[in-house]
Amino acid sequence: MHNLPLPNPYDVLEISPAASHQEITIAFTKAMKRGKYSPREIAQARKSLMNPQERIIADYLRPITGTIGSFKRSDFTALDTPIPKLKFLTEFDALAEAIGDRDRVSDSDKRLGKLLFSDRSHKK
Amino acid sequence: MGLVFFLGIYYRKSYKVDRLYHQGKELEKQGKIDFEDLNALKQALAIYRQCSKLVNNSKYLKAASQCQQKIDNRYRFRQLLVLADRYSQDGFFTKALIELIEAQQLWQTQALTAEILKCKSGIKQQKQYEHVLTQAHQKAIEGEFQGAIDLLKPAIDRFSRRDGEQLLIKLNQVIQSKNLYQLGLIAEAQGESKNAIAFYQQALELIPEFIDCQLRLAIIALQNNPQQAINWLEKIEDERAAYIRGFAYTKLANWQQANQEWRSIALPQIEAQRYLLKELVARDRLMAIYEIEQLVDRKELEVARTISYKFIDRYGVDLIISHNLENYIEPTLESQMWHSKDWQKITAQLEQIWLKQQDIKSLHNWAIATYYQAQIHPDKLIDLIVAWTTAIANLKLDPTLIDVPWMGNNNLDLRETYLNLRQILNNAINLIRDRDIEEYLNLRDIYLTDITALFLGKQNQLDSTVNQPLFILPSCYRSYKKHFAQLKLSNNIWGALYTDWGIAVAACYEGDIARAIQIKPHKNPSSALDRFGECFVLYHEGCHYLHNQYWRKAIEPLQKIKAAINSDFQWCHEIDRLCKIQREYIRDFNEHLEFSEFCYLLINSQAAKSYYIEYQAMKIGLEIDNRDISFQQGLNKLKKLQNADSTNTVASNIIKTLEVNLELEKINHLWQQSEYEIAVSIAKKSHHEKVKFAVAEICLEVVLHILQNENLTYETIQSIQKIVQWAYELCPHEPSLQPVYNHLQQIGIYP
Repeated sequence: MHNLPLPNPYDVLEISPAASHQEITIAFTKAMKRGKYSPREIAQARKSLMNPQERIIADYLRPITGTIGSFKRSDFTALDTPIPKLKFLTEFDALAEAIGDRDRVSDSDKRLGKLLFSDRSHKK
Repeated sequence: MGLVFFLGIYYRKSYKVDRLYHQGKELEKQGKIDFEDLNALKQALAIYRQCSKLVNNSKYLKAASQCQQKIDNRYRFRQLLVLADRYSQDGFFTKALIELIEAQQLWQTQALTAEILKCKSGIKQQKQYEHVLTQAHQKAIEGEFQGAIDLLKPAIDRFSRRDGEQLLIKLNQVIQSKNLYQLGLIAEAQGESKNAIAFYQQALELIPEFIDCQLRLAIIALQNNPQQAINWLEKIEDERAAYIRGFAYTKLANWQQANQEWRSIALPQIEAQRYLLKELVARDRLMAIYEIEQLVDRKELEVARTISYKFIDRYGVDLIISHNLENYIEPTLESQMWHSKDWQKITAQLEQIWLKQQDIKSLHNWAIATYYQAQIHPDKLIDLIVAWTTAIANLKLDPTLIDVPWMGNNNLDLRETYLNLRQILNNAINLIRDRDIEEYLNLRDIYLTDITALFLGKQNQLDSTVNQPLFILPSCYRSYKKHFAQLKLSNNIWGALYTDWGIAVAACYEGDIARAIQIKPHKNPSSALDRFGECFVLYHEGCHYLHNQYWRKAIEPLQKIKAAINSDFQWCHEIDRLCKIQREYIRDFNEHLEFSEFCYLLINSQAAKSYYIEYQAMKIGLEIDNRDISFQQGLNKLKKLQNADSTNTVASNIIKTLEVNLELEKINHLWQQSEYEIAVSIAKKSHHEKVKFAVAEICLEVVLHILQNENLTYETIQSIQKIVQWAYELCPHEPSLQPVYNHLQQIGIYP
């Protein structure tokens, strides 16, 4: 069991897949100075990227990920305005009217009468 | 004389029947006295029927029919009285009168007349009642419930009838329910919601159709339980109900549903409220965007992603949200995942993405993750094989190998890249060979199956027939079968590689039959493709054993696929060839017998057939030699055998020898019985020259013996000539007998 997998040469030298031979050589020096990877790993990375057959494998071994772009922000000033409030319309409550209807035949009574009795025909 | 006698009997019978008929008439008269008494009429009817049976006279039939009619009328009368009584009791005197009048037409009695008078007086009351009932009902329909009661109650007191009583009960319930509703309204107005709810619910129990109670209950529920308010008003198509429901939805922040409810209400106040709804929706939407931004700022990108997708689900595509998801949140999360170096977690995550998306990008990333995972966890090498083989099978589609920036105008050698990538996997598998040979062999089998499938697929351009853009290899297919249900597999070796027999099929294809035998599945095939795979493996197993001269081990696999072998010319031909080679190595006669039978029953080729018949014929020959069976029994057996192959020379020769022996045995027997002429006649008819020669030889030996030992009388000479004649007729041109014929000719005995 290994602790770490073999790193991708591009990651070791911290260069893009478009890097030229010259850029690889420069990156090799920089990587040595950084000392993040062992000299053997850095040398091996350089060697791999200089060899077209090995470099194409290094290309293949890179994950395909999207480029991180910018995060677009929105305008939230509208949130500073007070929250509109919905009030229950009194005409749909009509409690007082309902109490007042006690002693007269209301629309509600007519509706109920129609609902309860209109479909019943008394037989003669 | 006979006619007189007959007439006498006839008149006596007529007289007797006529007397019976008169008895019937008497009974019928009695029946007229009491209309309720049916017995006399029934007896009269029985008599008339008896008369018509005894003497065929229309008079009796007519009398029976009239009597039956009278009985029917009596029954109808009773029925009408019962009906009239029932109508009267129910308060329907008009209907009762109709029945009574009909009854009166059948039978007039004083009681009936009195009943009709009583009924007529009832009709007057009934009509007054019905008039009031109609008025009360109309009032009830118009909602004047108390007015209806006031009208109906005295009418019922005067004239009671069920329909009126029922209407009154219902009206009283409505009044009671309305009173409870009123109590509820007062309680609600006084802020006593609990009491109000109780009153409304009681009112509803009495009159479940009382929508006003439901509306009030919903209005009360709006305060603390908007969902309950919606439930109260379920299926009520009413503007008030729609408004209250809509308001309840606003309490639940379900703006869309609220708007849906209010859309049908054409009131200016509602328009204003719907405008407010739009503002609330916009605010909510902006709040959601704000929440996403806050999450991103707090680096909680996974939650931000979830909320972003929910946002799109709820509000539809938004340019900013989609941009941030695609260009910032997803790539950042992806980058974070790869940098986490937790390869097991990364692999599991990418495996799920691959199974969901099934595209080249997700396949590539999954394969790369398994590559790094396998370096740290060699026990996960199987994951690498499964992902890697399918990934490199689709190299030409892989974005990392398209327009490679550093290659400029140079073309990529895809074949070489494929071989190099395949070598990486090969090396990884080889690494475990020394550590765990079993595991190494297992992984190698899986790897080889994939490579074989890729080779065969490419060779036969099968990848293009697969109904999807990517070429899936067997290990990947078998690992995630339910995700690749649409994969179309053809019924051939390539298709068989995707079945449970695939690994053994690949081993056979690679020529490693011993390994195939070791790893083949021990279960029954469940599909046509499974069966093909099983047949392919068993065929190679059988051939392998035959090739190595273990023909007994070949029996089981080959017998199992006998039908498949015989339907494939190449398989049949190969097995025939191997059987011929195997035959050369068998030394034991009994083993030949067994092997020839196995070959014959398995492939039924000409060679197998000849081989089988040859050894069966030899077996019969041995049985005759050992006197286990008689000549005749042996001959019968052989002839039966010869039916299968008439050209078999071994069988033919044995049959010939047996026939000769049988004929000679018969001739010898006749000779012993001094039946010389019959014996010679049989020899003459024989198809075998050997028989003719043998008999001719005996004849001549007899002649020579006589010539040497006996005095030749005229009779003897005549006998000798006859015997010589037999011999000559049997074998006239046999060279070995010519000297004997010449000698006899010289001594004057001519054949």
